[in-house]
Amino acid sequence: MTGRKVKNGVMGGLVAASALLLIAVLAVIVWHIFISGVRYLNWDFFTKAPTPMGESGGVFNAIVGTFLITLVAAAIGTPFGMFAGIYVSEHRGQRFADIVRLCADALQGVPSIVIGIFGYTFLVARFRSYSALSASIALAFMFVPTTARVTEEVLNLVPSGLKEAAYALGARRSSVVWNVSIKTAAAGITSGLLTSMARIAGETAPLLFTAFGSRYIEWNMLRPMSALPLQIYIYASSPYPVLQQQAWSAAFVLVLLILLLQYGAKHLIARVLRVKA
Amino acid sequence: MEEPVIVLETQKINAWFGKDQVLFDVSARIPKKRVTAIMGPSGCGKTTFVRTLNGLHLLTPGARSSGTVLLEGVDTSTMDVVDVRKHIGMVFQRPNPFPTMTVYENVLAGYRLTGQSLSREKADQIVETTLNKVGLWTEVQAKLFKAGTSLSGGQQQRLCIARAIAMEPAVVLFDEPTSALDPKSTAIIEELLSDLKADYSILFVTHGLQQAARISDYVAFFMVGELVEFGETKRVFVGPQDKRTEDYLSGKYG
Repeated sequence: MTGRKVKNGVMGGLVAASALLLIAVLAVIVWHIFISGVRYLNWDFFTKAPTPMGESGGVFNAIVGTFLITLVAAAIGTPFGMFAGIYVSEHRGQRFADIVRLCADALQGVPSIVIGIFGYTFLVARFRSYSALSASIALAFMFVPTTARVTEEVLNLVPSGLKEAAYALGARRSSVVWNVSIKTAAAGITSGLLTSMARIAGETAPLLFTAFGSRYIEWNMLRPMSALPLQIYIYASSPYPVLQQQAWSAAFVLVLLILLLQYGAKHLIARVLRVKA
Repeated sequence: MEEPVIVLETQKINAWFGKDQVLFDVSARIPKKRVTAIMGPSGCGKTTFVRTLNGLHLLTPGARSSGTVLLEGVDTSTMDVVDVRKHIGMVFQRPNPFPTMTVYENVLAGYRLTGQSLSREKADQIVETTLNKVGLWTEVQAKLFKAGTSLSGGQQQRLCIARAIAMEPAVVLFDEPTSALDPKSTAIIEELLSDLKADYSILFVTHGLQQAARISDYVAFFMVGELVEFGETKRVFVGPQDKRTEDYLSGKYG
C-alpha cells in the first residue's frame, strides 16, 4: 500500500472511531441512568415529598422546585435576553453592539459556581435568607447571554429582503422589528428559549448557594426550595442505599425533562427552516 | 409627442458605499404616468439610483447620498421618510411577500406596518380592487387566507406589486422584478405595466435591452454611475446621441 492510502485509512478510522465514541458515551450514560433510575420509579416518587428516613416517599418537592425556579428564571431573563439580542442584531457592525456581544460571550463563559457565589453574596447574604427567587435570579444571569446570542443569530437569518420590503412600504424601524423580524423569527427564538431553559434546568452549583434545598413541598419563592439537581447531589452523596437509588431515579427524570426540552427546540428549528425553504 | 408632465425630478444625485462613489451628479426628469426604463450594464448604478429615490439606499451600513429629489415639485428631504415611501412604492428583484402573512394580509401590509387601521369593508374592497389590478383576483380568490408564500413565483411577484400599489403611490419603482421569474410570468408582468401606467408613474430597472424596448416609453441609460442619455425610448434606440449609448445598444458591453 502507498503512504497516501495508509494515511487515508488511518484518518478515516480515527474519524469514524470518534463518531462512534460520541454515540457510545451518550448511550452508556442514558442506558445506565435508565436502568438504575426506572427501577425505583413509582407513583409516590412523583407525588410525595421525602419521608424522614427516605424509605418511601418521593421527590415531588424537587420537581416542583425545578419547574418553579427554571420558569421564574426564564421569565426574568427572557425580556433582557431578547432585547439585548434584538439590539445587537439591529446594530450589526457598530462598536457598542460588538461590545454587548462580547460581554454576552464572556458571561456565558463564567463558571456556574461563580454565578452561585455572586447570588449568595448579593442576594442570600443581603436578605439573610436562602430562597428560590435568589436561585432564579442567579440562573437568569446564565439564561440572558444564551438567549441574547440565539435571538441575535436567528434575527440575522431573517432575509434582508423582507425588512427592505417593510421599510419600502413606509414602516418605521420599531414596526419592522416587531411585525416582520420577530414574527418571522418567532419559532427560532422560541426554540432558543427552550434550549436556554434546558441548559439552566440542569445547573447545580448556583442552587447550592441560593435555593439551598428543602425537604418540604414549597411553593413560596422567598423560601428555600429543592430542585432535582440539588436532590440528586444530596441523595447521591448520602450513605443510605435507598437515597442513592432515588438519586438515580431523580437523575432519570431530570435527563428526560432536559431531552424533552431539547427535542422541542429541535423540532421548532426544523419548522423554521421549512418556512425559509 | 407633447412635453410630458414631470412627476419626479432628481438634481445632482451622488451616492457612496463607504468610500466608493457609485453615482455621479445624476439629474433626471421622470415623466408622469409613463414607464421609464433604467438600463445599463451590471454595476452601473441603476439599482442604487432607484434606491436613493425612496431613501432605501441609506439603510445599507456606510451608505450615503447627496443631491435633491423633487416629488411633484416638493423636496423629499423636507418630508417625513414614511410619507416619501408612501408616495414612492417599490417592487424588488426577488418576490418577497411576508411569509408570516396571508395573501390578504400581504396586500394590506403597508397599512398594517404603518399602523393605519381600516374598516372591514374598506379592507375587503382594497384587497379586491388591488388584486384585480394585478390580474390576480380570480387566481387567488380561493387562497386569500393561505400564506402569501404558498403562491407560485410569478404570482408572488404580482402579490408584491399589489402590496406596493395598495398604498396608492404616485410612483412605483421596479428593481429588475422579472429577473428571478420564468418567461411566462415575465410576460404577464410586462403586460401588466401598460395597464398600471394609467394610474402610476413607473421606473423599471432592467439590464435587458429587449425588455426596455418592449415596455418603456422613456429610457435612462446609465454607465459607471453616470446618466449618459435620457429620452423617449424610440428616439434613443433609433438614434442614440451619445457614443457610449450607441456602443451599448450594438452590444459592445455586457
